[in-house]
Amino acid sequence: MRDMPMRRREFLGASVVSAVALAFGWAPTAFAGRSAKLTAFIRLSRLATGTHHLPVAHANAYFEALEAHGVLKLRPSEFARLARINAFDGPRTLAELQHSPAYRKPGAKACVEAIAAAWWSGTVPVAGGGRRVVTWEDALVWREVHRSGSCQGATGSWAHPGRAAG
Amino acid sequence: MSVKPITADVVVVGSGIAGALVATGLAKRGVKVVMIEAGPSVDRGKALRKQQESTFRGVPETPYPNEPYAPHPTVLDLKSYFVQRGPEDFASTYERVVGGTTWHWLGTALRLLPNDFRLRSVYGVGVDWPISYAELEPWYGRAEREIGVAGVESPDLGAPRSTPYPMPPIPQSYLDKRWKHAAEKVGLSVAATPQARNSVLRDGRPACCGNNNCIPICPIGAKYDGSVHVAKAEKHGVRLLTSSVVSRVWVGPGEATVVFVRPDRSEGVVRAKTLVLAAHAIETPKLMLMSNLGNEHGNVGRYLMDHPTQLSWALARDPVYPYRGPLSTSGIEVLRDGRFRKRRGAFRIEIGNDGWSWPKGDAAAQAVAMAGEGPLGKQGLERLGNTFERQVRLASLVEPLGERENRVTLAREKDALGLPRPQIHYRTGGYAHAGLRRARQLHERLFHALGVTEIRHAPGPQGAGHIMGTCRMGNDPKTSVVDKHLRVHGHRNCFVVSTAAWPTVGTANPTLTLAALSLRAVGDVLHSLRHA
Repeated sequence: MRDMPMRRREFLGASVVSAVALAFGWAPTAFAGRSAKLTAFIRLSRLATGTHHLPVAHANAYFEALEAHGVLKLRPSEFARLARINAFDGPRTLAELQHSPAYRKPGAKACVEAIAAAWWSGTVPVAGGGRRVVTWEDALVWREVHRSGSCQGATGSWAHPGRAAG
Repeated sequence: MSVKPITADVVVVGSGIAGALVATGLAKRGVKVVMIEAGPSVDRGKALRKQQESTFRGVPETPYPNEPYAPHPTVLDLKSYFVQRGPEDFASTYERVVGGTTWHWLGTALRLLPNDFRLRSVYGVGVDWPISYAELEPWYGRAEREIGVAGVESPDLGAPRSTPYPMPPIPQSYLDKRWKHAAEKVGLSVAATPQARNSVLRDGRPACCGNNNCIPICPIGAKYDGSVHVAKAEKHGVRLLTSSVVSRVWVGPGEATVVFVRPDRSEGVVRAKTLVLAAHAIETPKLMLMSNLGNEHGNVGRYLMDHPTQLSWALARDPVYPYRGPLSTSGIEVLRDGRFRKRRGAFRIEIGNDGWSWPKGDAAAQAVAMAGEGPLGKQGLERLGNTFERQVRLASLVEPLGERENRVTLAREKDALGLPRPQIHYRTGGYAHAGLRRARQLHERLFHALGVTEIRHAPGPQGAGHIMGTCRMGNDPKTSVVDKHLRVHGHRNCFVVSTAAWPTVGTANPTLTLAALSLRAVGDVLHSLRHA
């Protein structure tokens, strides 16, 4: 069994983890395991969110938040393992993922929804209720609608049709 | 008292638009003014960051400090500061910071209508103001120039003008144009909303570039807020005391004493000839009640009003592209006056450019909800975009009548400084409810004319953030608190410059009228000094 080749953005995401690992002095074995989990999380995120163009610099923050105790019944790392997301013959599309046996596990649907919600909104759930912000600018939702708080352009540009997203 | 008092000609309590305009006007004429603000100053950049780090980005209070020594209400928890005694929760809020509540206002700068000043005479309900539209009209023009209003004359606005708007109008949104065709189908018209928002570079502030973030904060200062005139006041020599909570005032002939408390609980004193209370319509009556000022007939704090609002939203069949431009650029204004006011409240319909942000939270909050509803993946992301570009909302701001039992009193519960919290008794009256019902019916007709699905109506009235009426203006001291010059009855050197003075409220949001009355009050305060 062979893992899919790592794309540039995944490499960057993994690099972030590497830097954190060095800073905190994680053991190489633990780091390798962590990197694989993060790679799986990014793959899972692409399926959940519907885009390959993820701002992966935030991947670790989303991953850590969703892995935290008490946030999700089924953690992303566990779901990714059950779904064999890193495997060569693992699910390649959201439809394949949703038809996999892993998706029928308790908490699986909520886990995928939570991953999509995080990337789309730039926010993550916190144990005990509520959410917190990971990123404002890089929430994917702003690719679909003009980001409030950002200058849209010339005065009156809103008089013409168009989304003016971003 | 051992503290050395600060002395001035005039002491102004409150640094919002009213206090800042009065202070600036007096200081320009050489008057020594001290302005006292309960809360701290606001740094626009820090406030923006605070908003962006919050998951409640559309909540009016989110960007601003809420200090224990100067707490303010928040829509996230209407009981956090107000002590609500019902039967309904009062749902409008305000800021206690330098610059006041205009930091988070929408910027709509409508005038009241001539008949708004004579509701009793013309329609037999409510009361008349002791001043007329004609008396206030020149001050409206000055206020529009002072704060900078962008607008265009329209018969729909119903308020005769003697001067042009100082700036060309803010362009109407594409969405407004779609509403224009829909409104015509039901016999109505859509008008560009006059706004205190720069359409061109003016007064050192930039033109609006469509941040779609007017509430809670304009990122670039294109929208007017009270901090503009606080800066001007200081430039003209006004001494500003921040984080200084006034705990009591005393007014005698030609003299006024103000005691304030700092966050460390130390006290300070200001002595002046004249006192101006400009602390909005909750803190002003609260302070007067704490000081036993002007309440000989038990009227202080009574007739609390808002513009109860019918909020409705739907999904247009075709893209209308909201979330662009100021949060609102047009309205339906032709419903603000008529014989129906004998029976029910008038209203204006505000057309929102903010999608479903008001009922559902900002786009990010909606994205979280939509992830839970499905679909996910590419289809889900496309659904987000398709939904956002078709969202429409209407809000009708309805005229209530003043009801004596709707009031602010002093609660037994105290804040961190040991001062009483405001206790609120409030219910929406029948006159307003009849207006709300009519508004809802009209929203339905407008939605159908536009072509929509998924029509939703908020089940109860929303707060408009327009707090008014707690120190009513009138000629009779037995039924009012201040006279036509905004002087507290029986005190020639004490003024209430606040929306608290409104005897009735019409349907215009109150800020432009407050600015006009504030500019007019400058002359009356000067007069009081000359005769001190």
